[in-house]
Amino acid sequence: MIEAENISYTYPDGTLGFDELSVKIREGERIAIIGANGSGKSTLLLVLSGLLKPTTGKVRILGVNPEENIEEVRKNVGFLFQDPDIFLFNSTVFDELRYVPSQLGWSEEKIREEVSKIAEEFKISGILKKPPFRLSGGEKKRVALASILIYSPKILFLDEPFANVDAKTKRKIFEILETYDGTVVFTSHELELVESLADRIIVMSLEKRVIAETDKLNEEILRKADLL
Amino acid sequence: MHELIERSIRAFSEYFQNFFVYEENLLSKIDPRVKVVGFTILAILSVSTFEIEKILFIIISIYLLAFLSGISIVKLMKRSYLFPLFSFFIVLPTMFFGEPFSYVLIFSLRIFAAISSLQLLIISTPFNDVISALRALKVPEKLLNSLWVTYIYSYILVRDLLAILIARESRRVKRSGHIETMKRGGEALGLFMLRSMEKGEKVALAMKLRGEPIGKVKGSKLLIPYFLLVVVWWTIL
Repeated sequence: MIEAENISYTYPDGTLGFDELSVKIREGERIAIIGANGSGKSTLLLVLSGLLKPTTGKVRILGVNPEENIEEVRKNVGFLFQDPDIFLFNSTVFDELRYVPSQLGWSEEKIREEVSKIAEEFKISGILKKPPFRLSGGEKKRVALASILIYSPKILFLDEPFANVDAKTKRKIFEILETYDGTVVFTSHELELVESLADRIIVMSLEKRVIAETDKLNEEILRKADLL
Repeated sequence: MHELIERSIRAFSEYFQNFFVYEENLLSKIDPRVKVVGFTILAILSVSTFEIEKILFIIISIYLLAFLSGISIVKLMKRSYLFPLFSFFIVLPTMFFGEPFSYVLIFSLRIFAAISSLQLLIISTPFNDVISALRALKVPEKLLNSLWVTYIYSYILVRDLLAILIARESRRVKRSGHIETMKRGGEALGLFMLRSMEKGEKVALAMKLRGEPIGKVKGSKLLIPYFLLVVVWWTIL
């Protein structure tokens, strides 16, 4: 589903995003990427989703090279950014939710139906007419996630989905990811949630390298990753 | 066309992210005060003449100095080209008012020389050392604070702009029409402006909280030297 071979990323200012690594993610897998702040998790997520072009190596998503057919990739990939403020740019929550469906050519009737359904599920029906930048942090996160899930992408990339939300929203996000019928790749610092949600955990070190791929975390790995 | 505009905005924000990056080289070992004075003189010399020989001499000197210090000439050029390019397009219409093309070219070369000179300073000196050097040279503290805050927040805002562009790209599943893209681009720009304003308000509040007399500046002693500086600068230009 996602194949990355010998990829690395260096920012335009010369800062290393992450060092050379290879990853294979199968259909339906739930992959967590963990590591200390500054270990390159978010950058890796951006490269794996085709949003950043790797400095070296190649990424294929659903068998497609993102550089050759980005539209095909975008239709099937949803990306939740750590900071919902940069993600929500429409004038109302309703416009936010309909943004991708309208590009996909859904009828107005279908859009309204699906918006109403997802708004109900995410408890955002009461704020559909509000401008997103006026919402609380938790509401913004829910709107951002709802605006991705509305078109059911085959692959979900989530950068810190559990950060800056209250316990109830955290639980809700956890339930959604647990039952999501697709591939999920996410970063998080919530190690308990990571262990119970992920089939595989990619651990990154402060040297911006992958130091382990495991389904169970232990003290040694966490120490190596500077998480203990 | 709109893809070109978007790519240009992205290249522009990447350019600005690079603008203040410092690296170790032979010039780094020189006292920052000497560099600040030296490169400022070079910058002023470049914008105070219209003689092509002098301008070319300054440019060659700057790039020779860079080469001898182990700084990549291509890198220095990449970091210096944008402002002269802008100035070229801004000055170009003067040709309709009788100025020769050589005027447009020389004008842009002056800017190129001045920016290259300042870039050579920035590439070889950490920005906080530049500020310390200016402080040692008795530049008023208020001006230095303004310079420092401008430096930090230009960097942060440009980083935000790039993040907004990437986030927008993540949700574009289909090539849209020109008007639609312009509309969306406008919305993204609006969002960027809103974020900039909000950030500005927060920064001002944080500064106020830490004792900065924001909004209470009365007839500052700085106004007269500042006014004189502007007059002299325009006279040189």
